[in-house]
Amino acid sequence: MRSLGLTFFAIFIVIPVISLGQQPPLSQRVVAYYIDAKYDAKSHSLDAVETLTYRNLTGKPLFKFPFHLYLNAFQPGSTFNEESRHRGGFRRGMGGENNKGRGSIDIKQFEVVGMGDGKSRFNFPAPQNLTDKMKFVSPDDGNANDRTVFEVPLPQPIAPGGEVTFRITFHDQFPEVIARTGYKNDFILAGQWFPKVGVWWKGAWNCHQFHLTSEFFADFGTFDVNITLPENFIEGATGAKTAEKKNGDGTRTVTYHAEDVHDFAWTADPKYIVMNDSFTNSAGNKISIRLLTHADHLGSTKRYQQATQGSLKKFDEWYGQYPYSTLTVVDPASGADQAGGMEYPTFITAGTSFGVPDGDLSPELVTEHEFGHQYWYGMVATNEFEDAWLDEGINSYTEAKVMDALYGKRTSVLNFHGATLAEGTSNRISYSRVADLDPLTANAWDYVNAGAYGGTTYSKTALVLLTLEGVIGEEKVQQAIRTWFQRYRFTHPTEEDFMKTVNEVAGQDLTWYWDQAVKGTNVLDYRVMSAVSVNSDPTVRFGRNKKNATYDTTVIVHRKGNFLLPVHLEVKFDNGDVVHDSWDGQARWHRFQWTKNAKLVSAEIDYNHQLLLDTDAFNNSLRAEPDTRATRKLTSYWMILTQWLGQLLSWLA
Amino acid sequence: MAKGIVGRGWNLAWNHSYILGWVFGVNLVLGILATITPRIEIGSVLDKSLQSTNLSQGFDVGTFAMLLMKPDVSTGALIRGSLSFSWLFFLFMLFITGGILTAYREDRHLTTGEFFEASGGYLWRMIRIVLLSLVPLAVIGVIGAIIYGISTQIDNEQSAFYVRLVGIAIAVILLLLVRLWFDVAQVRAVAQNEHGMFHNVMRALVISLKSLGSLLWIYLRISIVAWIVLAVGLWLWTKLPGNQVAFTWLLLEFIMFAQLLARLWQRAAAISWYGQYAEEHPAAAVDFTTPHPAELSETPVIPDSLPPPEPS
Repeated sequence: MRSLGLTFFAIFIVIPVISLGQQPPLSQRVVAYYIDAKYDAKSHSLDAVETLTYRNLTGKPLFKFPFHLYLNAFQPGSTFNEESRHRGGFRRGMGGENNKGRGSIDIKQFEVVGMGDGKSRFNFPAPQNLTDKMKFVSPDDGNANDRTVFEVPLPQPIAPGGEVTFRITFHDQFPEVIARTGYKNDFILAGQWFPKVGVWWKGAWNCHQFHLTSEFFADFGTFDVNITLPENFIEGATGAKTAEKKNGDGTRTVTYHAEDVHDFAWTADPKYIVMNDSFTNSAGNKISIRLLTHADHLGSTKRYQQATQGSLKKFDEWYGQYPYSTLTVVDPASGADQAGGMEYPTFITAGTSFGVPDGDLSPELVTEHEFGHQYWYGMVATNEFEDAWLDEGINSYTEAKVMDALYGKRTSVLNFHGATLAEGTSNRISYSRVADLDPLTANAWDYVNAGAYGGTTYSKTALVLLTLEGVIGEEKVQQAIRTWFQRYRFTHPTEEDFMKTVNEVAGQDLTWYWDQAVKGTNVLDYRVMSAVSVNSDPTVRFGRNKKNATYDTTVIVHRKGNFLLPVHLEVKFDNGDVVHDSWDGQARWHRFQWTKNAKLVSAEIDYNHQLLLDTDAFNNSLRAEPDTRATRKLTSYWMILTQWLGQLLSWLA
Repeated sequence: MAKGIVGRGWNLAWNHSYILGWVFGVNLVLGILATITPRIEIGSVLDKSLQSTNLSQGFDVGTFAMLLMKPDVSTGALIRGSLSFSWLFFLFMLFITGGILTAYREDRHLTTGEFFEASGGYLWRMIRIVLLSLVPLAVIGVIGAIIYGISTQIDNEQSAFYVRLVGIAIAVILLLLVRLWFDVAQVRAVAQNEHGMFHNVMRALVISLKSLGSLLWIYLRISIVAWIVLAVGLWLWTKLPGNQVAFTWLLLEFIMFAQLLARLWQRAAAISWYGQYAEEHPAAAVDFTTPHPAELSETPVIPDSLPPPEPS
């Protein structure tokens, strides 16, 4: 009885009380990184020792481990460089030989310092040096010049449930800022800067090379990082600062701790201006928001802060709470644009410029987008190499929702002296150029070019989900996204998981939709081919019986593309009648007919403007009588432009 | 001197407003011609589509961008067409410069025949002056590129912005200087009936440099008036509702008209200035190297009646 009583006491009283003081991990912590790094601001290089403990939760013995060495992407002949030379895009390559865009990471020593069965750690009598056994591999393209992934065999396999501890001594040479990392004068953004182990996913190691059009994939765990910097540098990093000390030699060492994250980035600049702010989430937890900005960007401070607050609020309200205690928003230094627009756990980089007008919402947009990645990448940690649409795309959808809610549906990108641009239209423009090139399911590096990658993974996904709102309702889609977050946060779900979740929430099998929109390259384009009213009584033509005239109205809707979707039609008549009708959209065309005492004014499909995947919005409607106002307006501008250009040239005469 | 010249220039340009009318008319007609193809192409997409309200009620940049992406709208061809009409206007202005300057100089209403005779007579000289003006313009281009290059090396965006602003101001002043220099050269070509254009341009440079302050002040003041009209006009444009197509067009045409007026005002001011300069510095105004001094004298003014004899 007594022992039973003690057990009861332990289970129901002590453990919950202890647990109250110590939150359970949010993720399966597969990795624990301890990094001790010293940054040399003069040479923009870093020397570090990384101790990584990996827990084998794969259920299988592990014989070898793959690691990323991403800074080696900035070497001649690397896959990143070759791709940027041939495919172009926003993240430009390092350019010619011997330029400042060159970066590298060298492993000085790679050791196994401990192995265990998960209960106790068996330290080796002496660390096993495996440096000579490291082998560079190129799993994606076989490029022998790419040194961004290496594999190392273990002296003995790690049993399921066991763990292994590596000690890696390495040296980083940062490039002048390029593709989300590097320096610009004193500014440094250290991203992808340490040897990072691959992910055991779908029963195999998943460790891809650094590509032009792909981001990253890693396991959740803990990070404890010491960074030694010049004393006058102001820094920010993933997680929370836990210690800071001056070393007496002009440097100081800061310690950051982060839990349940899968990457670690940091930044420093003596010119940073720190702006502190906070947000209290719906659970009452306070999040410290730290904005690191620059003097020439102070005009954007309020805009950054409002966008961050607004995004935190909307995500909290719609999808779930932001669980971390910190969020660092980095405004990169002038000339370091390539460091902008990037996400790392609890750490985002935005971007602005001096004098950017209020109506240009790009600072807000980039802030919201990168914050959104805290959910779609940071917590729902999908594979960005193979399922890029699940992070960039879902994030583009939530960006559209949040920006529309915060800044207006028609003005969520631009609102400048009467010129407007909406998120939906902006996505439509990017997508319609590349509509039939690549499916969403393509590997990030397999798209035909950088434009196709952007237009498809970002824009098409947003349009797929916005269009889905027109099929199953906005509420259902939003609910599905919320479920997706709640169910899969701190895991590595797949695209099948996503589609299954939406099907479940929608209460219907949407395979027909996913097959066309996600797995296929089907193009959606329905048009109103013709819309006419003719007198049904021929006597009216001769001027008699006009009052009671009846008209036969015929509207033909044509499916131009190969994407099949139900079509909803709205027809307006000159007596004020409005008629709605539908068509399943399966055949190539469909004829609608009415006989009424009124003539047709206009016919429009997708009259609620929800099928944003439709690549041509102009042919979705027809008026009976032309309205030339827009044409006159545009041609008058064209005329003025020609006159002005003529005057400009004649100034030479 | 400058104050009187600006006023006289205005009177001259305004008294010969038929020239302004013609020039603006040609500018307008070429603009209209440039819209024929766009009207057909854009109209074929917009006129019957409800989507056009995004452009008639406001200006949805996305709708406009998607319109340009339509295969029905050949954007490249439209731009080329517009450029062609712009070049035509340049050629027209080049052609009639001699006529305009002759009319201003003689300050009388030339007949059509006289106007075009003067235009044709001076055309080759005007072409040579334009070709020579490309040299200093290229130098200004290089200076602009250097200033821009410097601004890109500055880490602080705010400082870089101000460097660019100063660069633009410098470029504008330099362009004004070049313009007034070559305007004086054109005036001399007509007033002195100069044939050697290189000599003429060099002489104009000497004359312009001697009176640089007053000449620049004349040009700058007229330019400032034009810039104020432009700024106020554009500000009003942003205040007009998006669906006020006719008002918007009228306002923009007024701006175009005002810019042309300002340019002709500058030319008229240059004529007035040169007339005064030649009176004050007869020797300096005439180039001693000019080979045909007989042609240099102005058309003699024959008084309507002889003055009454002095009483003895």
